[in-house]
Amino acid sequence: MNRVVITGLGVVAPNGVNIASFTSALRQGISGIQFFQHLKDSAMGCCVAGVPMNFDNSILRKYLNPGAFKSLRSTTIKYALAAAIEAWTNAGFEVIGNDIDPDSGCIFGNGVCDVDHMRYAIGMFENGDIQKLGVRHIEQLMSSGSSAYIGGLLGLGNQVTANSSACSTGTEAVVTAFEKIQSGNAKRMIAGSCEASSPYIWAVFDAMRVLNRNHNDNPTAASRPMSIDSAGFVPGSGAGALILEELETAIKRNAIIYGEVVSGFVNSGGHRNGGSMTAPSSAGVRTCIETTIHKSGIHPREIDLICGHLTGTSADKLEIANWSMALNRSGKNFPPINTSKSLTGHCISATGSIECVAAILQMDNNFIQPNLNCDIIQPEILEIIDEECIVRQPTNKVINTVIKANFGFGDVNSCVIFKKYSK
Amino acid sequence: MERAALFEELKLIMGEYMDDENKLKLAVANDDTDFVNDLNMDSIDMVDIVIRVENQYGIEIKNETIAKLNTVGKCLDVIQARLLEKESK
Repeated sequence: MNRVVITGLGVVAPNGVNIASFTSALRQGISGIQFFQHLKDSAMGCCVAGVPMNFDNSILRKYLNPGAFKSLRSTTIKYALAAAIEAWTNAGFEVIGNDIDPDSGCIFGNGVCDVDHMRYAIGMFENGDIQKLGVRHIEQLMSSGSSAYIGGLLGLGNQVTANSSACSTGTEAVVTAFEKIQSGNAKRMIAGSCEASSPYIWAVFDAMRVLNRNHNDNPTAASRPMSIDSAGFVPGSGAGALILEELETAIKRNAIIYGEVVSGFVNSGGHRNGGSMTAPSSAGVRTCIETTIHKSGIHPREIDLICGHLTGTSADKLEIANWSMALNRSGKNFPPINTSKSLTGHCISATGSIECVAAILQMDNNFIQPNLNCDIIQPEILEIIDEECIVRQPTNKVINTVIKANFGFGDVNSCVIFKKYSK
Repeated sequence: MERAALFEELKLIMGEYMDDENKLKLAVANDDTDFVNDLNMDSIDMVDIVIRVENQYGIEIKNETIAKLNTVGKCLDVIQARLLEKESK
């Protein structure tokens, strides 16, 4: 089995549209959540969201041919391309080239294609203007649009595909890429996920009554995971990208190594034992975490940081209970836990990859990002873990091992363990 | 609205989300009956039921309250309180 390391990172997040700005925002606890009048005008209950601030897609002009750049409307693909280009160049590769690399591939997921673009195409159809639409639309509407654009741009000759497992998508992509390299079927994979800034998607979550409606006048206070007065999540958008690489190949080319992926696992609760379309089965969640730990060979007491899913809904306390049982750690013995969602909102299908990037940045730079808006912790959580475990101030700490999990609608789970690389 | 009458109307809405076996349990439910544990209801269906109730009675129930409505009694308490608020406005 090949060892797998991370050699490149890229991100387009609400609180930072590249690795440098995202790292700074994480370290200082800077929120990217804003109020949007158009959400209020659309009668949304929640009118705040995490949208990548100062995202400038002009960088894509440098890499795409003029026709492709002019026709590119999909925000999903724009975010994905920007994150992938940053990760690829961060790993030390050139973007433009004529060669095909048969050993490099891509798995880049999303929940749905760009719905705003779909609406545009449907509008053209309904107005009888379909013959005026042009040629570059199906490539942006297909679920694999982001991976197809990335694969074409970088000349990837291995598997190029898209996965989809709701909020578990990004972490699932990382685990799938890890397994592909570990088994010797690829030497390098771009793993990631993306989510457009689409009010049409956010609106259906609003209709489900799972978005916070209480902080429209105070956007940066709206995302409140683990807080006693959390009242739903805040929708977000963006993309995260990671370059996973076979260790031997990375060493051979003197790549910078951010960390090692030591294990990962993906499963489902099967909509049984308390699990449903929208609620995770605790047994399924624990199996996912426990299997990931077992496969890593790491003892749970070695885990220095948990980067949880923790959305700011009533499910947070259940998640903490599941972590505690799976790790068999509680009280003061429980490791520090955080989620970048208090800063970014819940970036839905992009959340796993953005948070994997966040986990690796914290490990690489030895800090713990503070959980914002959590002055008073839910009492049910404090019955399980000590309040010091929920870090609320920027904290420097040596992080050697971090565990990351995400859980998605459909009762699907994914978990991964990153460790500092050592020979 | 009288609590008993309100409960009968709530039963009509809830019955649409239940199979015959659970409808029989609903018929003899009391304030302590738990929607998920006793009546096998999906928590997401509970949100749908709350939205139906809001539309039917012209009231609004806060998101954070919905998650706490796990029993018949709590649900009736909240609906009655909102109806009283509405009448007093």
